[in-house]
Amino acid sequence: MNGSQEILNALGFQGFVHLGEGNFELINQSTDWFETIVTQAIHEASGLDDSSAQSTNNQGAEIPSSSQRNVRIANGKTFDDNDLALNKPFKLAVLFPFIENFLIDANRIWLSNTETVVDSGVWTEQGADGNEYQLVLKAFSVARQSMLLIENISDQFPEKQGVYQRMRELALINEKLIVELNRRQRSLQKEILKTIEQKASMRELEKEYQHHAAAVMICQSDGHVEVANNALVNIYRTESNGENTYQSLLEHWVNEAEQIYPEIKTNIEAGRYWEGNFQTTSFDGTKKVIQLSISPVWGEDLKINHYVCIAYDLSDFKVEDEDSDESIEFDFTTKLPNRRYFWHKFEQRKASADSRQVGFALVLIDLDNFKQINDEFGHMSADKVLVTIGGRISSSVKHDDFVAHLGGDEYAILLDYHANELDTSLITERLLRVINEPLMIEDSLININCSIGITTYRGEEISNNELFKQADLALHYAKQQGKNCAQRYHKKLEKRPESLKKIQHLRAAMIQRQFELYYQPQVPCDGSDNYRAEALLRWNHPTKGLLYPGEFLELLESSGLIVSLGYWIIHQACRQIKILQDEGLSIVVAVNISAKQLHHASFYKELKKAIKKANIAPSSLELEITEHCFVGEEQSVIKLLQKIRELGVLVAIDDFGSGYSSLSYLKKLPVDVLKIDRSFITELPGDTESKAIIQSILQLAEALDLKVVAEGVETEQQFRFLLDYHCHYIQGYIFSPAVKFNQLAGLLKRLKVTQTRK
Amino acid sequence: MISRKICMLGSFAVGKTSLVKRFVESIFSEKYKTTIGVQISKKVVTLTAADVQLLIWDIEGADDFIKMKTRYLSGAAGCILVVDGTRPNTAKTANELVELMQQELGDKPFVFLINKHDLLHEWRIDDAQLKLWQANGWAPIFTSAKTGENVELAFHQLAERTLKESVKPT
Ligand SMILES: Nc1nc2c(ncn2[C@@H]2O[C@H](COP(=O)(O)OP(=O)(O)O)[C@@H](O)[C@H]2O)c(=O)[nH]1
Ligand SMILES: [Mg+2]
Repeated sequence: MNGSQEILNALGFQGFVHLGEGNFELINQSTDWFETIVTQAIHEASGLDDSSAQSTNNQGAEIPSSSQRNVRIANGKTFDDNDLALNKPFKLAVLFPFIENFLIDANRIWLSNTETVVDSGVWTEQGADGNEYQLVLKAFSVARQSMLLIENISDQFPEKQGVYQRMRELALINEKLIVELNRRQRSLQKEILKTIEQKASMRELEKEYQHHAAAVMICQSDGHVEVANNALVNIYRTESNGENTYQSLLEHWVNEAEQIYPEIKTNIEAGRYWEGNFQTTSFDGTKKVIQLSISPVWGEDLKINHYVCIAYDLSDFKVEDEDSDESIEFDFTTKLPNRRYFWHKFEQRKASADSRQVGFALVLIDLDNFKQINDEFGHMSADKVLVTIGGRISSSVKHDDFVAHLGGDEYAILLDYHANELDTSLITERLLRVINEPLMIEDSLININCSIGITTYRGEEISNNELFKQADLALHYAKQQGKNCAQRYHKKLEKRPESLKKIQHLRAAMIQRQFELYYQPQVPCDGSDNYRAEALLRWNHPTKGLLYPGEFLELLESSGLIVSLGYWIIHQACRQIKILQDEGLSIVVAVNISAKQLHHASFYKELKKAIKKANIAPSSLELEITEHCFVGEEQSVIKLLQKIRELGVLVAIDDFGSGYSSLSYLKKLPVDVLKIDRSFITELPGDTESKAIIQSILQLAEALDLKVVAEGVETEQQFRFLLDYHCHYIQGYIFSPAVKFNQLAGLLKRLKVTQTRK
Repeated sequence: MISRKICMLGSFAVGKTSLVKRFVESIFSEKYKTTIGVQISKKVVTLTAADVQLLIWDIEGADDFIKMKTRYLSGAAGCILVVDGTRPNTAKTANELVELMQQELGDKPFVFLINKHDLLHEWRIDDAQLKLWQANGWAPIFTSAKTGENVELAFHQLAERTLKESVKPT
C-alpha cells in the first residue's frame, strides 16, 4: 500500500477507508492541509465546549476546563494529534458537517458495490493557518472496501472561481441594465397615458416632460407631432427645433425598426403596445442605438388618436457591431430567443427553404387574457407563467424547430416540413393541449389558454413581412373565434371586419352602462317566504331596444368580454341584494356564471370582493354554472367550488340533465341546488321519458339533500306535476317573467304558492 | 448543546455570503467574490429557551449556469431565503428555491429577507409585490449586510423557529 500512499499525497488526496458506523481510518500519511483544517475544526469545536460548559455552569454543575485542546469526538473518546496517525479509527463526520451530509450519498455507493464514484461538489474549509481550502469528496468501493477521498483543489480553484466570477458579474450588469430601463420606460408610458386621460392639454404635457431624461414624443395618429422634448432633440441633434423637423419621425422609426422587427407596423396600426431596440440614424448622420416604446392612446370613439413614444439612447452601453452576426439574443425572462433573434432566424430559414427543398411553417402563439394574470398575481408570477409556457412549447416541438419569445405573451415557432403539405392540426392540437395543462400560481391552479395563428411557406413570392402578417391575421382570427383555438391562414381571412365591429359595440355598451339586470322570481312550493330570484342580463340597445342574451351572449363569450362584464354582474347583483336586505327582505339571488368566467384566474378573489364590498351574507348569493364548466377541468373546478361554498356562497347546476354527466356523478360535485333543464319541463306532462327523468332528478336530490328549481314552467299542468313530485322552487311565466329590479320586491311579496299537493 | 443546520438560499450575489459574514464575523466587504460550492460557518446564539449552535450552510447561489444541489439541504432545520431588493428578478428564483426546499425538506421554517436595504435609491421592490408576499405569509425582513440592519434579528428568528419545531410532537 506504500506506493499508492505516496501517489495519494502527491495528488493532493487524503484517503480513508470506511470501517462502518462513521469510523474512518487514514490510508495515507496525513497531509499538511488536512491537519490544518482538522486543527481548525477542533478549535471551533472546543470553542463550543466553552459555551456549553458555561450553560452547565449556570445550573451549578461541575465543568471541565474550557481551554483544553482535546475535545470529545465520540464515545467518550477525546481527540488529539495522535488521532491523525494511521490505522486509528477516526470519526470524520463529527468534525465536518459537510462530510456528514455526504455520507448519505456515499453509503449508497458503498452498499451498491458498483464501480461508480460519487462526488460531493466543492466545499470550503477554513484552516488553522488562516487559509481557505477548497475540497471535494469522492466515494467509491474498491475490492469491497468503502473508500473516501478528500481532494484538495485549492490550486485549480482560483481559475474556476475566476470564470464564474466574470460570468456572474456580466450577468449582473446585464440584468440591472435591462430591468432598470424597462422599468423606467414602462412607468413613464403609464404616467403619460394617465396624464392624457386626465385631459391634460398637449401644451401642459410638453411643459411637464420638456426636461425629462427620456426622449418623449407624442404625435397624432397621422404622425403630426404635438410634443417633442429636449432629450429627443439631443438624440437627433438638430439645430432647428421647429415642429416640422420631427414630422416624419414615427415613420422614420418604423422604417428603421422594420429591418429587425418587421411586425412593428402591423402592431402599431392595430393599436398594440410595442417596444424594442434598434439602430437609428440621427439627422446629422450619426448612428445610435435606441430603446423605443410606443403606446397608442384610444379616444372615446374607440379610435387611436395619439401615439406616445419614449426613447432611450443606448449608444453608451450598446455598440451595434456591423460585421458580426451577433443577433443571437435571448429573452430575459424566458431565456428563449427574443424577437430580434427570431427575425434573424426567420429570414435565414425562409431564404434557405428553397435550396433545402423544404417548406416551412410560421406559428404564432398568443396567450389569452394574460393581462389579467399580470394584474391579478403581479408581474413576477406572470413571468413565471411565461417561463413555464415557454418551456412547454419548447418541449412539444422537434429539436430542429425554432421557438422564440417575441415579448409580452407572444411566442413564435419556425418549423420545416418535407412533405408537400403540412398537417398543421397535429402541431396546433398538441400546443393547445400542453399550454392548457393546469398551472400553479401561488395557491391557485389555473389554466392558460392560447390562440394560435399559423401559415406555411413553400417558395412562393412573398415578402417576410407579408408572410408574418398572414400568421398574425390568422392569430387574430383565432382570437375572434373565441380564443383557445388555432387558425391556419387562408385568403378568405383577409376580409372579416364584421364581428370586430360588433365587439366594439359590446365594449362601448359596457362603458356606457347599457346593460341591466332583470330578475325572475323562483317561488317556493312550500308557501314559505324563502324568496329567491335569478338575475338575468338585458341590453338596453340604443336603437334596437331591449335585447336578450340570446342575441349577444355568444359574442360576449367569444370575445372574452364576458369576464369583465361577468364581474360587473356579480357586483351589481350583490349591490341589489343589499338594497333588498336593507328593506327587510331576505332573498337568494342566482347569477349565471359561464365556464370562461369560472376559469378566470381572479374569479374567487373578485367574488369575495363583491360580497365584502356590498356587505351581504354570502349565502344570499348563488352561482349557476352548467355542467360544461367541468369538462376537462373537473378536479380544479371541484376544488374551486368547494372554496366558494366554504365562503357560504351557494352553487347551482344549471340546465341539469342535459349535460354529459350521469346522475350518480352528481355525488362528487360540491353543489346545493339543481336546476332542471327547461327542455324536460316543456315536454311535461305528455312525455313519459321527461317525466321519468324529472322524477329521478327529484329523488336523487332528496337523497343528496339538494334543492331543486324547475325553470321555464308555463302551464298549470307542469306546475302540478312538479308540486306533486316535491320540487322545491318554481320559476317561469306561470308566475312572472323577469322584471326590472325596482319591481322585484313588490312582486315577490305578492307571489305565493297556495295550492297543496295531491 | 442543541445544534441546528440552516441553509442560505437565494440567487447569486443577493448577499448570502455577506449576511453570514456579518452575522458570524461582524465584517462586510463591498467587493463581490462569488461563492463556489458550500461553506459552513458556525455560531452559537443565545435564545431564551436555550443556546443553539447554528451550522450555517452558505450554498452557491442558483443561477443559469449552476443548479443547486438539493442534497445539501438534507437535515436542515430551516432556511434563510434571500432576495436582492435592487434586483426584482431574484424574487423569481426565490419562488423556485422555496419549491425545491419544500420538496426536499417538507414544511420547514424559513425567514424571508430582502437584502441590501441600505441601497434605497436603487430599491426596486414595489408595494404590490410586498402585499403579494405578505398575503402569501412570506412576511419579509428588510436587511442589510452592509449596515447590519436586522441581520441578527433574522438569524435569531430562524433559530427560535427551529427550536419550536422540535418541541412540536410529530
Ligand atoms: N450595499 C449592499 N451591498 C451588499 C449587501 N449584501 C451584499 N452586498 C454586496 O453584494 C455583492 C454580493 O454579495 P455576496 O454576499 O457575495 O452574495 P451571494 O452570492 O448571495 O453570497 C457583494 O458585492 C456584496 O458586497 C448589502 O446589504 N448592502
Ligand atoms: Mg455567496
